[in-house]
Amino acid sequence: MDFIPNRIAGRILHLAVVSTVCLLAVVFSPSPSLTQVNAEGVKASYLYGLSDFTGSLPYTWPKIGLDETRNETYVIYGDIVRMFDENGMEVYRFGEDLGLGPISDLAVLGDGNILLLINRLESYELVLCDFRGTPASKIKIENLPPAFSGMVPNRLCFRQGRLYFVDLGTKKVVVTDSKGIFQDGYDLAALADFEEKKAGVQNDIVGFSVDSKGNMLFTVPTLFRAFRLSPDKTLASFGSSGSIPGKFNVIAGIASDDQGRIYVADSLRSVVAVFDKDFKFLAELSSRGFKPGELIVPKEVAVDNKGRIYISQAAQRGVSVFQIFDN
Amino acid sequence: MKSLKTSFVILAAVLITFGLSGKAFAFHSGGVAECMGCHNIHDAKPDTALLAGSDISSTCINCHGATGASSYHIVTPDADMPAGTPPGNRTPGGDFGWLKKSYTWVPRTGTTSSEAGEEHGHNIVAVDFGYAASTENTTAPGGDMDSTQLACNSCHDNHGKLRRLSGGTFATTGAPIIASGSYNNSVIPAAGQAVGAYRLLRGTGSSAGSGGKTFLTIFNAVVPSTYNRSEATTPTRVAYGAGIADWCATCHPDMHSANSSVTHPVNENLGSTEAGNYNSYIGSGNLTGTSATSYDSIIPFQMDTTTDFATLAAKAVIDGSVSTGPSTSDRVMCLSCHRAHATGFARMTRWQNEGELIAVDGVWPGSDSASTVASQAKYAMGRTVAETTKAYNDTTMHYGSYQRSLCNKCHAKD
Repeated sequence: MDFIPNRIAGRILHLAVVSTVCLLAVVFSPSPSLTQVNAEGVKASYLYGLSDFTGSLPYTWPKIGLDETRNETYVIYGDIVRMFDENGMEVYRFGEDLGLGPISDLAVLGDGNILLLINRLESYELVLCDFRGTPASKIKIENLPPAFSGMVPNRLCFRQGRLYFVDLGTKKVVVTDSKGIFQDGYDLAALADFEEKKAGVQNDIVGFSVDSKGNMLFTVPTLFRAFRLSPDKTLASFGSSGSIPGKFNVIAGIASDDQGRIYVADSLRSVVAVFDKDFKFLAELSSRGFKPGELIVPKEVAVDNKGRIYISQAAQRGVSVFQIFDN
Repeated sequence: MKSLKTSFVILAAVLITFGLSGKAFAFHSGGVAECMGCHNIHDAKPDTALLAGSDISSTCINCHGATGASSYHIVTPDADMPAGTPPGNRTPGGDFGWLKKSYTWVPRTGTTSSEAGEEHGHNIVAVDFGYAASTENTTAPGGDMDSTQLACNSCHDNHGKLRRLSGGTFATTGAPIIASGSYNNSVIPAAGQAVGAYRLLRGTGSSAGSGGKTFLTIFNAVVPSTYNRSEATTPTRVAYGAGIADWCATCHPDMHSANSSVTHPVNENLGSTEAGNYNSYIGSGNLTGTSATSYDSIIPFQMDTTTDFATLAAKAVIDGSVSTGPSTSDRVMCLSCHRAHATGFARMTRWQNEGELIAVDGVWPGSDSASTVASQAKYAMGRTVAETTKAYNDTTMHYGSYQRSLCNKCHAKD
């Protein structure tokens, strides 16, 4: 690890250069165009694609992580984690020289340390890194009840001091404290009474997030429905199939903002649908296309506490960022 | 390698394992799925049949492009397979993600070998996900189909009109499809009912898909209801029946031994010699096996001209309860050597067929192997142990300690 001092120095220099470039870009660039407006109370404008000095990230369906405390965005792709500042410019990266394998997800903990989830299909590892991405230790989920012992998580969220481990295949969620000590577990398929229990259908969860109130949000594309599970295990769902705004084709990522609005990516129609906290449809963000501000097969969505929505796409279009406004 | 590339002949193979759940039913339910799963009825772009993807295969991968969680996943996303990490799905048809895995190695000082990912399978065109037409084969090997037209629906009827009626005959109408007909636990249709054709594959009577080829036979097969799984403990045995090679020959006619005298026989009985070899073969230098336990999912065979669903379903297992090898009347087929979608090896073969030895020092080779022999570049061929192992669907290396090509399963020349 003798390269760490160089990394720190490089990162400081990188930050300085990036900040200067971004300031100039903001000063001399035209205002971002509005991509979609809706009279029901929300609109959004395209800001930028997450980029480095060579341009936008050429990734298909990267995963997104947010560190709202430090205004940083993480993009996970293969065995690389790339970190972006609040202007969407890359400031740091790590992972590719660590030999950890495919990084499925990450969580930035309250102390700034980074927990990496390495998923190898039949097994997984949790690698705790410092803020530079230097592995410090491995942790395990402790006191796991037998009903959850076989799960292999492939999603990870961190909210209000709690870690949420999700096995999208078995549809089970384990909640732990920040040390990995078991606190609660959820069998989403059982709670949601998926139709597969009646008809043998296999319904996968694709999108998953936890909002600021501890509600779990998830999508099941084959049911054309999105779900919200509150901490007291009350389940509500919304959505139905259709291809007009407010209906679902093939849905994917889901996230919520501080006002409780829910954002659902529709991969097939290449839009993001916005609903209020009572599941009333409000607006649709963007549309299918290859121009800046348009979307191609969106998958993951994340919303930060500054009202910015991050959307990962196919066709090597990386992550697009929009600013959400109240109308 | 390059000379091999130009002279080697790819046997026909089929796009099979697409779009169905690991359980008894699935989104497609044996026939046409919910319209809104693929079509954007009121807001599609022009010239796309109201599809919302950039092309047909992109629309399919929209749902089928994931790893592991379900059997219907057959395309590992790029983000999940960095260098050294294999595609994660282990369906019998193979993971299209292998098309993205290119390898370079130095077998000896001063010599560099390479293997392009596109050599690993059927190069479907799916722009949204970075899958492009083959640059090596502008037409289907052994045929004239334009490679730029190859899409999922070249082989699969995306609307699933072909159905198996209650009497076992196939038609594109005549009774409603009530469920998938692909699985060993699929429902038997009653009078006035039908189930879907295996894997929604096109067949006699169904219209042509992308590429314009019309199939004139039925692909008879049955798969266990769970199949995207590790084969480390027990194999995933797909029961193949009548029609496999003839079906592949729709796009690859000159690869069929009925049309060519210079290609490996297909759709022909194994006969006593090859069936005997298969049953006695355990590995290089070991011919002590018996027919009761000789089945190997890496080298499957066709059950003669069987079309009966129940007969096939009885053989489609994942628990190892049916391990019998072939009889003399069973047949070699394209899928005996190739997978339908893609594999970890050149020419989409089921095993490494580009070198003398596929396993050395008792293990699968790989650049990171603990064995100083198995880690040698000439054996690893640019792959990690994980990649080699996954290419065999996690099968434990159970052959000879220095194992030669699995052609020998039938030919026993080693």
